[in-house]
Amino acid sequence: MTEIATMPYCQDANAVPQHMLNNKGLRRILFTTPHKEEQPSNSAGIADTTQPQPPRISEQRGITAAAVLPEENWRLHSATTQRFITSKKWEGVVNRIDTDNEIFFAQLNELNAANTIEEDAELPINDVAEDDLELFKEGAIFFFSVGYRISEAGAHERSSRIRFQRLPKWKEDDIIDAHNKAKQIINKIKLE
Amino acid sequence: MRPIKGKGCLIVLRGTFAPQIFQPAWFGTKGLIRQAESDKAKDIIVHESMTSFSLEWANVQVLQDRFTIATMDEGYEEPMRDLVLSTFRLLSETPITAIGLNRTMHFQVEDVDTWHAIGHKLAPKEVLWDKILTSPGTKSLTIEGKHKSGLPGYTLVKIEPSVAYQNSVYAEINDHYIVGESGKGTGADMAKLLEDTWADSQLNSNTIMSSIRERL
Repeated sequence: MTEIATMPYCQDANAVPQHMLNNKGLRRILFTTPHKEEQPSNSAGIADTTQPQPPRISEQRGITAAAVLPEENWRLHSATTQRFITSKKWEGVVNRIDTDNEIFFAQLNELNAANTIEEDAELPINDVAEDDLELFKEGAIFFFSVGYRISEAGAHERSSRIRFQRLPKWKEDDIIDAHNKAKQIINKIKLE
Repeated sequence: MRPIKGKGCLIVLRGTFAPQIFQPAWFGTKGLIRQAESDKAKDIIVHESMTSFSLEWANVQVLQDRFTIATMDEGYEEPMRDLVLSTFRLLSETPITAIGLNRTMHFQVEDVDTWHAIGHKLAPKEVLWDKILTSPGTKSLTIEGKHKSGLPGYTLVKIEPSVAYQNSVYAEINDHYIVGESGKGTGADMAKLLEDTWADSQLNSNTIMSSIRERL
């Protein structure tokens, strides 16, 4: 059992003394200490919170507490049983589809790279998920990631994935509006 | 290099939402997720005050004042961003006050002594805490900084002991932006802000995460 001591803390950033926030200020710090009747641990630098903590429940009214996921889940503090660790990921554009050889050619831009690195790639059409085939056409944008999947038993398995970008479908009215706006712009250019 | 045990990404929107709209079937019908994903969504709760469901790659929860989507799979961070962009381009008049781009990481350190040393390095105990607490340990530390871009909001970096993995440290970055003028934004304003800030926020968060993992 632990007891938590807190430094003065306020959710509202404006209420925090400004001298604490200049550029990189201390926002919050929590310490924990065992109760006096318990045996203190040896010079604990970090509080031992490996034991499950009581879940905090949202204060949203009108819903039973059990229906709302514990806040901890949303802060992703918990472990998962199976996960995919990404080694590299790219945003790609389909340049050409070669159905005879069941491949497509794409230009890839590495994501998370400080400098833009463009690469040309040749990928198998079989890697496109069935539900994404309606989006699979020249000019389509997709996300390509490679990494490894870790099973519940801890086994590592190399894996790659392709997922096509999904944006709202254009409605006929939107297309007519866009055409009209384009015409207005062209007319203005002609006048000048 | 200290091994990363887990990573996650969340997008949190503050505003006024009608939770009942955000059902898996609605996302599927609008083509924002695959039809099969909509059909296979799990843990579905729909109530006028809250909607919640899980896809294979993300969890969605919508309350009347908060929209949250989270993924533990780094490869799905961009599809998750696109899902938020698409959703609020459709619901462009939704009042939205703020957006948080949050990233989390658990990393394991060499041994329990190093783990304790990190706690002491973050918050030295000699000056005060040893004198007023018995065996004080660092439970949570949050540092706030401003955005390099000068956009209204802040970046919070939180470091805690991991509750999920042994001898591990949990780091969380909350890149918080105000949407619209004084937080009176709309879905369309949020979508533009998200599109404009995503790449820089991601790069900055990764730099912070790497520094924490290597330098502590």
